[in-house]
Amino acid sequence: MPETGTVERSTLGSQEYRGLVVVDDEEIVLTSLRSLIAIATDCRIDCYTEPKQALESIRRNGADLVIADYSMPEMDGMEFLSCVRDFDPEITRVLLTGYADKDSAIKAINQVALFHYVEKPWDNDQLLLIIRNGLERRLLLKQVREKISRLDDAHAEVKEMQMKLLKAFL
Amino acid sequence: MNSRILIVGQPTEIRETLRNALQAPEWELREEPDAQAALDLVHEYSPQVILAAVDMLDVTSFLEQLRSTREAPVVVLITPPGSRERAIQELRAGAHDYILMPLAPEELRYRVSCAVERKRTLDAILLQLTQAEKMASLGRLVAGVAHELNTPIAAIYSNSDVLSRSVRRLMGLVSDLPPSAEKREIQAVLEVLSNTSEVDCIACERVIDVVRNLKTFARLDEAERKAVDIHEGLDSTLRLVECQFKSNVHVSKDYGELPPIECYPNQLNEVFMNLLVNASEAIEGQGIIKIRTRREGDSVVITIADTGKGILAADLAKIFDPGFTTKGPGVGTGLGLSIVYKIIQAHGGTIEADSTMGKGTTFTITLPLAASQRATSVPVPEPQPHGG
Repeated sequence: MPETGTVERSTLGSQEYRGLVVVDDEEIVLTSLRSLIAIATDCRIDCYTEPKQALESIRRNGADLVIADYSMPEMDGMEFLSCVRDFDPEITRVLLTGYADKDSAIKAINQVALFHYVEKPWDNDQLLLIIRNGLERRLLLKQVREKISRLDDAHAEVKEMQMKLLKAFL
Repeated sequence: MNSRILIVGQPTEIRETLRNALQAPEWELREEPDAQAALDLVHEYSPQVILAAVDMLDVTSFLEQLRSTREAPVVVLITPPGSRERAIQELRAGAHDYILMPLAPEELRYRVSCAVERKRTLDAILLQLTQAEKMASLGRLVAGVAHELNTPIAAIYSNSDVLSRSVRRLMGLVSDLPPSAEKREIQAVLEVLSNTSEVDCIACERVIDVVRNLKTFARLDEAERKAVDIHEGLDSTLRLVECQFKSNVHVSKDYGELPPIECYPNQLNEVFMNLLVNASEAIEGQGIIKIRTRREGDSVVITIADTGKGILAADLAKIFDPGFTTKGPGVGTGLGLSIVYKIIQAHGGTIEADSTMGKGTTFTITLPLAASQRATSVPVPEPQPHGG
């Protein structure tokens, strides 16, 4: 029986599905999230304490959803997420933060087009829901892109046919 | 409360005149001929007012030494005829007032009561300043503590939930096994784990609640400042807390005509919530909570009065101190009223408590109508606005 907030890999229905990347300078947070993802979802999860390493991994292997801590010593969560956005805007971006004040939330959402802003301590059910919705968003974007490209192909095909027809009649 | 007055001066006849003129129940008198001995007496007797008939040559150094005492009493000089010029100089040196001899008892009494009043005002301002300073440094401390606690508790909270999920998963797997002694044992162990993680979860929620309070205390979440109807805030807060009230608590509202007030509405609601819950908790038998609002000049005055058991006079001075609680361990964090104090202060207002044992307690909040230019946020420097 699936539990509340379970993210079934099958619901994502894509072979190209890659998984989550989490960045937090605190190992204990990563361990907690890794355990949660392992027990409650079918997602793959890669955890990093160094934003730079995480970026490297994303550039190499891609990602579907990225969760970043706000305050990290080398590069803060906002900077990190904006790099992720530059690399691939379709990757869903979630910010994890110790203090929820409205100003910085608004700033975060506007600056890096954040999908969600999660306050520490987080509620697991809520976080799983955010992850599920975030992955769904990613999937929909991908499907839309694929549909558009198929439409483009079809359009090109139609055009070609038209050209051939015209040529045949001329 | 009696006012303590110290009469300092060599000439016996002056001391006698002063003594006779100031015979009144509200004045407690002590005398000391010698200025040096008087300085020692200040620590022990801590007078509010000193009437000094000391030789003008000594006055400056006398005033200087008095100023450095903790009590810093207000000084009124008893000045010989024809030395007005000197007396005025001494006013610059720190004397509050002077009275030219010959003394007129009526004038003397009036001047002394003015001096007493001044000392009271000074003491009150000093107390407020000390309070504000204490709150500011505590705010910094609390912000740091909350920040440090936040991540570990977040991890523990999440883990306890993961543990519950894991146990549920195992329970499901084990239940499919054929009955055996091992199965029963495994199920018993899982039961223990399940109960433990359930307790962990509840314990975490309590810690998280405290940390959240600490965060609110340190930073007072910066929702928008806007002009609102205070009555709406009072009513919505009342609806929220009324369900906690016992059936013996009745609420009576006496709302005056109020213009919209520029404020942080959620913060004011927190103030109302704290005061209303405290009021209901103070009521043991039948009791009434009276909420009254009035516009008074450029201010709005909100009083929340209960007919509860009251607050001990000794406690009354400490109720706005952070950490002070009478609710016993595990019940109150002792942050409620200090948060209230800080919020009202951030709004440029004042809050006072008045209480009679067995009769009840009244909190009076005064908020300025035009506070828009002041205190856009609480002036507590943050070490780090965001937590990792």
